[in-house]
Amino acid sequence: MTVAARPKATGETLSIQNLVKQFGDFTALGGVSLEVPSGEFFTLLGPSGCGKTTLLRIIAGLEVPTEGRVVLLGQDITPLPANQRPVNTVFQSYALFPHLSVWENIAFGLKSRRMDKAEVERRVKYGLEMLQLEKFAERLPHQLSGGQRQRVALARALVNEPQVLLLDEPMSALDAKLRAEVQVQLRRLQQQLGLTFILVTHDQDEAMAVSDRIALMRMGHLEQVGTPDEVYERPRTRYAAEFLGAANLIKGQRLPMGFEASFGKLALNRTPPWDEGYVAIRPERVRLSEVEPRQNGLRVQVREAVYRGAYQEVWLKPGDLRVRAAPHPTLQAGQELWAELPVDALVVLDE
Amino acid sequence: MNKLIVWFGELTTPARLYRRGLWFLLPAVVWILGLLVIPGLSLVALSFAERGQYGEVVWNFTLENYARLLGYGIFGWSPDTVLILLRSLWVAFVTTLVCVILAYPLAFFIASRPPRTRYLWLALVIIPFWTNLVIRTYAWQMLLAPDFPFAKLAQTLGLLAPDAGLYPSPLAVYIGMITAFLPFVVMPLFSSVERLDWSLVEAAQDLYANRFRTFFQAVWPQTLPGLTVGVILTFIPAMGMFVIPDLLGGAKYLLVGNLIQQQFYASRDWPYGAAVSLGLMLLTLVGLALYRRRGKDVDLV
Repeated sequence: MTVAARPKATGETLSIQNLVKQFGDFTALGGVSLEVPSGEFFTLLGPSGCGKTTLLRIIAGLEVPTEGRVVLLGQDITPLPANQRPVNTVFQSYALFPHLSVWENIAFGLKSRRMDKAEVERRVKYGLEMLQLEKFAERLPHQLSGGQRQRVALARALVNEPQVLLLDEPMSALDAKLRAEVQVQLRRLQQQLGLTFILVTHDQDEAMAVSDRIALMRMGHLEQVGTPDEVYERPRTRYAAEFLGAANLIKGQRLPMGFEASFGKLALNRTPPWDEGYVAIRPERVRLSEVEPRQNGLRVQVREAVYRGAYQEVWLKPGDLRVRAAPHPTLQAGQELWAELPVDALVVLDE
Repeated sequence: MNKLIVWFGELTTPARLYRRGLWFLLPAVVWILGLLVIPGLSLVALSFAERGQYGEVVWNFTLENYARLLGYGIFGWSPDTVLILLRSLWVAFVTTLVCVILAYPLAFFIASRPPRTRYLWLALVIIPFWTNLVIRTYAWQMLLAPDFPFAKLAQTLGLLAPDAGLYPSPLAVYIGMITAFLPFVVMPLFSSVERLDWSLVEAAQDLYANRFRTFFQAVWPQTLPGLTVGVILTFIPAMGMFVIPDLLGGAKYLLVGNLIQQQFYASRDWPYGAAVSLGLMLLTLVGLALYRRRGKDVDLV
């Protein structure tokens, strides 16, 4: 049986090919390649200045790359201006038109494309319903709360039925409680619509909560790409380990059967690819106990313990380990006990 | 009642605060009374008086000045004064319009310069404005004179009779007016353009808007505050301008400003001059009211 040859890019909604962006001497993006399949919630995560927003703006057509291509559904859209790309953006400031009502704002993209009146009415109505904005249709943006404005910005983008929805830190202007709520809504919306979302954020909790896959960015490069648990549980670099959840980094040398740190020998389930390097362990994976564990036990002293309500944060000597322990019993500085670094919790980094 | 209150850290009573407030108001009240209300009322009173035989004011109540303003003279109705009023309105309108059309690209050009050269460009717009208007207008007389290259070019192209100058002419009046008022539009417009929220422009482009739609939906509404100031600063003085039409327009191109000036100087007909002045003021206020109404509409849409 023969299968008709398909263009290579099919299956991937969006393909970023070796994008380079330079602003004068500054390299914002140094050769980034990515494939985002259709219907995925993909997050670009990184600190400010890592190039994540630049990448988003290049996809939107608001910035021209120095090198590389953006391919959408098999079509090279790099030379297309922003107003000809089937892509819509939710801006960080929302960028709602202040002189237009909520209804007019949502209809903006539809009217730009000269859709007939009935279709505009239908889609705006749909958008208003989808984001529970019916009551505010006639209001002006300045008469809305931050959360409502954000929903208008979402509706304004979504009614155009874009191939890809780009979200540029859409929750940074919301307070923490509302943010958690909106994250859940956003995730649900994306799954209902089956659309491809690309989110830019510097907030790792947000990235974890909503994404199918996360690309961790650093200084114009992709540091690691993977599902939230892959990136969290199996960080490959020191940067990834420290940026996500602030892991403990333990420096040491490779042994034939494991690893030797300054405070003792540890068993690993993978032979490190280096002679001297780092292994990482999450603070919540270190186990404290009164009795000596069977493997990877360490006699330690509590240097400091901070009660945080849901847990207590403990710093141990030796090794400067940070541990997230159950809040009871409360530990005291100076107390001696055993710490276990379970083999499956120790991640060998690539460096 | 001597209720004590704390006012910005000072312990005082409402009565004392009130008295102090009156003192602060006094200079403004004197200013407005002395320079606006009293002269204004005098002008109104004057406009109902008669001109004496030797140009003195005779305080007989008459409506004749207003009848003349509407065109009724000794020889019946003539359209002259109405024409002058309409022409002034038209010249002010065209001047404002051309200034706005020229100011937009200029304001955007200046705002897009790097900060170091931006103020140099701005200074270039303002420097002529520091030169006396009369001197600038005389400069235009020279530039538009018959043996200057501009006039020579027009003569060669057959647009102008040989040895004729480009002034006095309506064109010269427009040139003089537009160059005089351009900074008044550019400056406030520039301050609006400088503060422009470009994310709205990006949003419009992201939402499939073409250049035209982007400009009128994302840029224009944001520049309205500056534009309004510029239009008002241009339209009102342009309505009453007399130096430029006097020097560049010649005797045949009379504007209402010249008409008023003539009454107070050459004709020594102060009552009629007062009536024309009040007519001009009325026209200006009507124009402003219309503009405000339209401006409000724009804001609401």
